[in-house]
Amino acid sequence: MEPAMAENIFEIRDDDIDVKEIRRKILENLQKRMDSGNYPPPGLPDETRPSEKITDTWTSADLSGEYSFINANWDIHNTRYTITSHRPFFGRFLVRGRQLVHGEIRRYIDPIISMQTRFNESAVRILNSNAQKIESLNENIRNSLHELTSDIRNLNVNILDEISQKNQLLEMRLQEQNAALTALLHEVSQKTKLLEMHTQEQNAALTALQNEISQKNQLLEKELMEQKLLMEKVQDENQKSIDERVHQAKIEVMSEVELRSVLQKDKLAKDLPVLINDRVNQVVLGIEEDIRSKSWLENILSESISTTAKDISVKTSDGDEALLYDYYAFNQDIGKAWMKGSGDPIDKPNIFEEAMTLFSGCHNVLDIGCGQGYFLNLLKSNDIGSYGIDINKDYVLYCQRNGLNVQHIDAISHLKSIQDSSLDGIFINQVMEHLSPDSIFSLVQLCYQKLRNDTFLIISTPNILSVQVSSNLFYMDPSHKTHIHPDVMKFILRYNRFTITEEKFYQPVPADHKLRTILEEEIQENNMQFSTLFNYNVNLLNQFLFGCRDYAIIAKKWGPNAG
Amino acid sequence: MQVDQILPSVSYGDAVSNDALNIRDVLRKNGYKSEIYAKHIHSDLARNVRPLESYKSDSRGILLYHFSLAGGEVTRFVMGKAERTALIYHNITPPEFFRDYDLTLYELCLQGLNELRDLGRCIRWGIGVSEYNRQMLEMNGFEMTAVLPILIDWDALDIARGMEIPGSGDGAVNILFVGRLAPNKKFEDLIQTFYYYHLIQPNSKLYLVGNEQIQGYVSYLKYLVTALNLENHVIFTGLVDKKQLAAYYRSADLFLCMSEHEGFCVPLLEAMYYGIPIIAYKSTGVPYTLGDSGILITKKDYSQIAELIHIVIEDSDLREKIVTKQRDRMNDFNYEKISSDLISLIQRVSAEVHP
Repeated sequence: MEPAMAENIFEIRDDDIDVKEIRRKILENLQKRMDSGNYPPPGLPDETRPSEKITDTWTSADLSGEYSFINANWDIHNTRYTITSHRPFFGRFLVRGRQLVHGEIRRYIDPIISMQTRFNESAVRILNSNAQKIESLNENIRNSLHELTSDIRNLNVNILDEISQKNQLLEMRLQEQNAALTALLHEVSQKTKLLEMHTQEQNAALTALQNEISQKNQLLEKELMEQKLLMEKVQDENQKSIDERVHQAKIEVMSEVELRSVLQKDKLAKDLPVLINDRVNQVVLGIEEDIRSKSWLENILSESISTTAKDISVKTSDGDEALLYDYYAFNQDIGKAWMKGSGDPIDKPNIFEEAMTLFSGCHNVLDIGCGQGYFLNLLKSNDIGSYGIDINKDYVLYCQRNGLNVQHIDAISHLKSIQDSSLDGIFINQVMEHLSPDSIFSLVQLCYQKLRNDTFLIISTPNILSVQVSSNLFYMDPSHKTHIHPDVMKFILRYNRFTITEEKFYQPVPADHKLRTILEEEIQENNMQFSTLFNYNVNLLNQFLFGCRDYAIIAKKWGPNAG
Repeated sequence: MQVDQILPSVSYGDAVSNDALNIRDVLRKNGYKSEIYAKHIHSDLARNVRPLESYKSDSRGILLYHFSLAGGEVTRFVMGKAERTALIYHNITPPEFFRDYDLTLYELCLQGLNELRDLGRCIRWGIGVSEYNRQMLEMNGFEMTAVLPILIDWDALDIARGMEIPGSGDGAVNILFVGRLAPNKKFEDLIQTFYYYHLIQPNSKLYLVGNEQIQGYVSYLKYLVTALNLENHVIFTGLVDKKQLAAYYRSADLFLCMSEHEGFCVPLLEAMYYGIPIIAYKSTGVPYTLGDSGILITKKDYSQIAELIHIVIEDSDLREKIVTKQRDRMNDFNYEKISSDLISLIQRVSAEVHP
């Protein structure tokens, strides 16, 4: 019978070499080594062991000689002789004499021979039948033994598997709990520090605000005082000018009266009261007109006072403006916490430089969610035409004040409003995770529509393949909505006819924030096996837990001529 | 005519760099002007190779781009001159081999495969160093493909006669593999096969000659060796120089290769040169390099492979037949033959680029 592992394992393409013979030798040697007992050895996985065969301790082949002998010789009747003689004359008598003697002897011997033959026949028949029975019994035993052995082996494997699985589970739980505890301690200390910082900052802000208000109040009081003084001065001046004019008019009238008194003493005596009255009325009207025309000054002054007061009230209110201001501060703080949790950010390589290379020579690149305009500034200094959009008004104002072309609008509305194939690059950095899955899909679809052929779309998000990112860092920004798995992002891009040209991982976690391996100098001879296994496991875990923090994907919209 | 070669990086002793230097010598000998340009240049080769920035475009010339890993900006540079470029493909390891051990290499290989597809879109001529590589080029869209094996300077291997390796002189049977410690080369299979052979022949050693780069993989292999109690019999030599390498080959009784991904596998040719019988797993570029010679493993059954090794070591007639067939195969990689193949290939490419 061919052994179970008789499948051919090698090829030699040389007619001078007897491959079959080599194969036979391999199997024969292997069988011998297995039979000798110390083969297969422990220590290797089961599937690497050659299959075991139960050794035959009893085979009919061992006694086959005996069996063929008794089966051939149970009949002991001697029929193979004839009585002859070579003597020419006496021969006839001799033969006859011997036949008589033989005849006499056979009369006694034959019954015994026949009995013995009969006995032999039965004995051989019984032996044959027993041998067959034993053979078939043996076969049964062999089969059961085989089944039993493989059962035991399976059981062993299962038990070992179970033990090692439980060990692994236990170890994993221990590590998980350790990690959770460490993370918790980290978090608590971070939160305490954050709280302290916040309290200090808010105290400072409050003091500053109070100072500002009291300063403004003083200013206002001063201004009001000044304006009061001004108004009093104006009123004084007006009064003075009225008095002066009345006085002057009186003098004029008096002189005229004196002048004309001589010539028209009688007529004058009659008209004088009317004349004086008219004159006085005219002067009073002129003064009133003057006062009315000077009221603009008061209007302006009072308007200025009310504007100043309103300014103060906006900054102290709890409306949207104040909230946005706080979000900006929140982002600054959370940035620090992020670094404490997972290590400082890595300057190089970064997505911005990669993107700059791909956008070189472009004229109309759109930065969606441009923030404080870091990338737009970079593009500008490299003479790449670009503009940005952001939904945070503070960021937009900040960018505009710094001379960047940035609009306050959301990505979907903006892309819908511009012409198809009008952009030659789109950059979306740390934005997708703030959107719902539906919006992500619509955004990618619109990007394809608005990009020219042979241009790039570059997207960067937190890398959720890292457990630290997906289970911790991601939630440091409450406005994060969606875990974006690289495979899903690839699907969405491909579904919308983009070709993926590159995938990148940025921001590796620094070594001091990962699990530590046992150093070479710490390994001792008696724990070498454990240490190497431990280090191997730690490396695997580090990869899984503390992978790169950022993921970026670069997609291209091909022209009609591309393959 | 000018035929220049471009590589992302060159370093001393690296198979791709050696190939580029040999190709340059052949081109110059045949009257071509030829220079090598690279982005990263190892200091030993600073006089032989020019920085890529100094490349001056000559629209009448031809460019050969040696592609064995992601080139990034070098690839983009070459794509700008696609119409007069031919790609020489040394193969890129499938990224899956590195996923469990080194994410950086995983990304580099992934990016390399992406770049190969992009190159296939715009470059017409692709030259594989083996039939396997040629098939890869065809799959990636290259319209015209050819096979040009790596140029081996056989005379340079005739060194270090009589030099001894560490630990020699105990009469042990030495089994050898040469190659950097990368997961695709399946060192774990070498060690487990040797475990069985060591039971047959306790006076035996396994020499693993190659650079130890990927820490996770190296610690796994060392764990395996410790677990199998083979610390004194499996020797990791690390990176060695040319003379030491020759000495390791000369001390070896058999060359065993279990690799599951090879573009060409230069060490197979070196083993042929030093007259060592080869047993190698039949995968990717390996059967194309061995041709009819050596023994190809079709199923990784460690104990049976161990018996096969034992038979080859013990049966001197059989060993002689294998080694003879290997020497015949060496003729197919004759320096002059491949040189003339190279020149006629360049003529075909140039006739098409500048008709």
